Amino acid sequence: MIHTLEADGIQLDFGLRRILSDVYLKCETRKITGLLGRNGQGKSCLMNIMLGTLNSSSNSVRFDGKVIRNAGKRSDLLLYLPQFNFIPKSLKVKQVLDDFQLPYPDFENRFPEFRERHDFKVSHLSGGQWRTVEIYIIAKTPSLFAMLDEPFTHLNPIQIEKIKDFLLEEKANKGFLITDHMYEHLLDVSDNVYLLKDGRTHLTKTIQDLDDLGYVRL
Amino acid sequence: MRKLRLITRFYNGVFLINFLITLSCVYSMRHFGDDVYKIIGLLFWYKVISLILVFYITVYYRKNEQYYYQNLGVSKLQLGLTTSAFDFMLWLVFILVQLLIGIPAYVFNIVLWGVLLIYLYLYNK
Repeated sequence: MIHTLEADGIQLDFGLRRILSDVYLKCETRKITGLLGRNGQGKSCLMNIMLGTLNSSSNSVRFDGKVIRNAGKRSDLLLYLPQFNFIPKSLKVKQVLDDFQLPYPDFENRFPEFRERHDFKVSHLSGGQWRTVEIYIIAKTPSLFAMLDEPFTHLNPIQIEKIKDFLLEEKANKGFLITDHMYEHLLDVSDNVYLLKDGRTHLTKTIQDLDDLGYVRL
Repeated sequence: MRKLRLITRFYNGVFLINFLITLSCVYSMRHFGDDVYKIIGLLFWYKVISLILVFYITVYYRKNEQYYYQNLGVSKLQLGLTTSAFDFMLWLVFILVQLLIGIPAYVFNIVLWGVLLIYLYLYNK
């Protein structure tokens, strides 16, 4: 069964400045939805509104057509990878996977560079490895949807390719909403792409659309 | 069980400061001797306010980590309420023991230094 997560009619103001004014976005399970936008356009704010951690003057977040508040409190429904590192520094890689009830051998097989690193504290990993652990737990933990805010940050090109393959595999199990500035990688993996511009979302299909909307220059 | 483990882990991060505040209450009671009933109310509010402050400061300085607990299904409110309730019960036990039988100075010192050494050991582990 296909499930949907929609954000509709979202308005967000910071003082006199309107950040989001007419947002519609739809995610489906077994699909990757990309969200692009320049800095300060409100991508992370939109994710936080969907999660329920940021209040907006008007919003309707719907799961399978039913309005849901504080979706972030339901980890079986929605998981969130923030753009910063969120795993407590003092934890070891094995502890993190145990917390999320994910077997270490599966992780090791998927990312062989973590062989014999189960006893490492996450703060002793490189930035790319730390991010890989975070992406893995969010993508692999059972839930219907996951939102990834700048997942490719800190990753080197080889790691990015691995993560893209991993996300394409995992989309069979959940729906993803991903935002990142590396638009080419995002376009590679996404089934739908929205561009957030001037507080509105625009559904785009090709890189030419992004050019027409002024996000890239071809 | 997993939730309990996560809450315990969060509590480990705030235990020492809260425990030192509890011991400072016991120390104050010992100092006041027979006039201890005059300061019980003050100690109560001292403990309650410090619990709120410690939680607020912890959440503020470790706000990124809140997403870790949230993704595991444990909200900030759950973390705050359970750890504060447990710590308050611990405070109550110490206060009652001091009121009813009095904690001898050597026991007080053993508890204080014991906790500090265990904490130091765990921190360096």
